Amino acid sequence: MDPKVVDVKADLKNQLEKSGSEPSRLISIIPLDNADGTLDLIYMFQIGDGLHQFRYQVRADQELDTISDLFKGALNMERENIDLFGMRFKGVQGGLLIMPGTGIVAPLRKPSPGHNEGGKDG
Amino acid sequence: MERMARTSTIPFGPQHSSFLEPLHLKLKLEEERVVGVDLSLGYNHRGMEYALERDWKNNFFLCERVCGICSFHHSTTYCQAMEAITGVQPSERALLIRTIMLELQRITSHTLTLGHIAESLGYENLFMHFFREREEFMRLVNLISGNRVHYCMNWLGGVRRDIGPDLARQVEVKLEEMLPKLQMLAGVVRKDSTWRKRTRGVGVLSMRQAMEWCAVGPVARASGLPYDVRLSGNAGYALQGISFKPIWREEGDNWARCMVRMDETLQSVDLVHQCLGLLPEGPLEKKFKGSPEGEGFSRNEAPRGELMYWVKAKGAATLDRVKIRTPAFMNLPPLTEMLRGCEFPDVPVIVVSVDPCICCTDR
Repeated sequence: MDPKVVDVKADLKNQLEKSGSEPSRLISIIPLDNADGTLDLIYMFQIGDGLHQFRYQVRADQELDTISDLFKGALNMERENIDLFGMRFKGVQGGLLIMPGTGIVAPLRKPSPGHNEGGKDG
Repeated sequence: MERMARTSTIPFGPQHSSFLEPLHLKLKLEEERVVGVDLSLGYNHRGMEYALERDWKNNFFLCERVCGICSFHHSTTYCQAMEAITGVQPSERALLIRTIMLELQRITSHTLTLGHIAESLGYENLFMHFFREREEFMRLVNLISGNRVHYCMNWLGGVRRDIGPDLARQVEVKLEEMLPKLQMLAGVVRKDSTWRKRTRGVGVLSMRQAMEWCAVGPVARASGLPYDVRLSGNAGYALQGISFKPIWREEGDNWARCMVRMDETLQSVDLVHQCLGLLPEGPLEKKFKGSPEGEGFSRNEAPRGELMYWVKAKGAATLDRVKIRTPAFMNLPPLTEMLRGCEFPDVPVIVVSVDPCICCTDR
């Protein structure tokens, strides 16, 4: 399955601008492995008093724009996703939870059919 | 000729006498002033999210092992997420018992943090006062749950232990006994000149910085952001008939963070009183048969701030995904802002003032 490539950051900015002057706070970035080479990426926000989630499907090897320039708090969330899911964000390094070079790669990825890489022990 | 400031780099942790959990800060100093901070985490990563995918039923107890200080908040938030998936609605009695335990655990957590801050300031005597009063609350939760740290009280659709009339009376009596003692400690935190001099204007996090870093809990509320999950959503106390207003301040410094916690401790005593007065008759738990399927999301106001669980169940004993976003994970990175410009001896106090929990952060 090859999802339509979307510019996640531009779309998020667009969605947040729609909320007008309401203050927005990033709650979490949640990746979910679909086990077919794609990931669902859920950006969860509190906008005003309401909860909003924006869901994108991205290729596992897709390099995404970081949103840490919009929310500094996003930086460690993205670093965590690099470590645990092998994701890529422009200009962001992993090594937050797992030391690079230890042989453990993307431990929360699920093995794709026909692919043995990833998995729990790299 | 002007003398150049001597620069040096000093590590704080991962083993440090003022903070025993493994947190590493690389501090860049000019003379005694901090001019730069690098933060490293990950020394205590245990793969909890992976472990939680294995058995949704065991998770009610395993979640509590994420953190020993806010264990009940973890299991309650997981329960709420699973209840959102299964559609099982706990009885009002079960919800209020949960709220009582959440607030009692908040008291044990805040008194621990305030004692820890007192110790970092060199106030050994006050540290002992805080821990003496905390011990009374530890005995109280032990009386209710049979455990001091991991209460093991939560289950899908309710709780496993009741607070009957006799026990409720014992809790009331204990709270009435403890309230003046906590008020005395609040007076010290509010007025003591040494405490104020060491904490006022130190480690300031402005409202704008708190928003940028997505800070939560007492750290955000001390910087003028009145975010509190207890106000809204599935954890909203108003739904249970409890009167609640978040406590917040504008100063953004160490003192404000201490005061928010101290006032919240007193507020929690009042909230427990309210819950005991509201306890209706009803079942403790509701049964659920089968395997859950779907996605569930839940939040709770843990002692350190907003705790979030996101769960995807696939109709089997195992789960597809469990995502935990802990408050400490959000409150540690702003330390880089709070520490910049401070004096080196203030570093331990500022670090402890955000109530860092590495068990929660690294999971």
